[in-house]
Amino acid sequence: MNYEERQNQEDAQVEAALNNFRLSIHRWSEQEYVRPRAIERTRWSRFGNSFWRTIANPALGGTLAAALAIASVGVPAGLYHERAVAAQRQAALDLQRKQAAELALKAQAAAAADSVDDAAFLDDIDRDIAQATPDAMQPLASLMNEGPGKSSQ
Amino acid sequence: MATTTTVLESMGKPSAAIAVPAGRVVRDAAEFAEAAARYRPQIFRFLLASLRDPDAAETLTQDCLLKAHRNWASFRGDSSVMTWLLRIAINLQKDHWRSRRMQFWKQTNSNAVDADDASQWLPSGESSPEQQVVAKDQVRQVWLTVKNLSERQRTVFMLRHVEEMEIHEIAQTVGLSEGTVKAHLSRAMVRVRAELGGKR
Repeated sequence: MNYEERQNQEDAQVEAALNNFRLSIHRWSEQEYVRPRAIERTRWSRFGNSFWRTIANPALGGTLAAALAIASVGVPAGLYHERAVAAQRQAALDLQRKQAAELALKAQAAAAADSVDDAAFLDDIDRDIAQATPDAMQPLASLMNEGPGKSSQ
Repeated sequence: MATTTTVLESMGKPSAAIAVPAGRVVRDAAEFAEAAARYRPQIFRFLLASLRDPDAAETLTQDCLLKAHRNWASFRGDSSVMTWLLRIAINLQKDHWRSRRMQFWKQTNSNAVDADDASQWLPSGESSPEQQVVAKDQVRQVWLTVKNLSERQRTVFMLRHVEEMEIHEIAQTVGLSEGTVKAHLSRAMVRVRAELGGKR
């Protein structure tokens, strides 16, 4: 078999393969084209359908009903407990605030009392100073201290 | 280029459209319905061969016709309706591949058929079982080669060897020059021949 014959044989082989390829695609396409195909659903409709299908399952329905019953009792009880704990916390907080306020009042009163004593002490000092006589007036002051009886003498 | 060629004329049927002096052609819904019914199987076939996924091909065929319907009034008739529709289909196919690449991390329910499965739809001719086996093997090899071609080479190859379009029609459809189309086709054929054990 010379080169040309071999070439022709190869060309015929490739031609036959391509022809079969084309015919197979045409046949496949014809079969797929007429095949009934479900309408593509959106994500939400898929979700909705699967949701109701799941809900319709008796076992799952019973489980959901039990869960609902537990939740209907458990949730209010939990809420009640939560509110009671919150009320206790609030009462403790109020008591703490009240005690703090009383302590603050006591401290304020003590401070006020301290400030009154200091004022009296300072008044005494001022009075003493005011009664002190300068050195130049000492002779007259001594006369005053001796009293009226002596001065009349 | 202004033209008054209508869709039905391009399909070899008398025109029902109204020619407008500016070169625009007013087309009605009946024309589109007829064109869609006529070319839908061919668009589906091209997309099926390109994607190997019947569901994706069906979805993209619908998208293609929807897009064509929206732009039907602006179609000037510079090319044939089939060329125009295939061009839309090719663009949608590109978008499809791009979105698949972008969503590579997602678990997608792809129905893409393997090359072995795709080669089973052989025509039920009068050939012997041995010839059927050989033919099936050849088709499988062509599928494997086509699968490994670049996107553009695959498109050109499919248009030429599945849709049996002429080079100038392919050039119009894919928006390339005839020389570029020939080059892509030649490269694709070299690989097919190599796969089939022909000349290299």
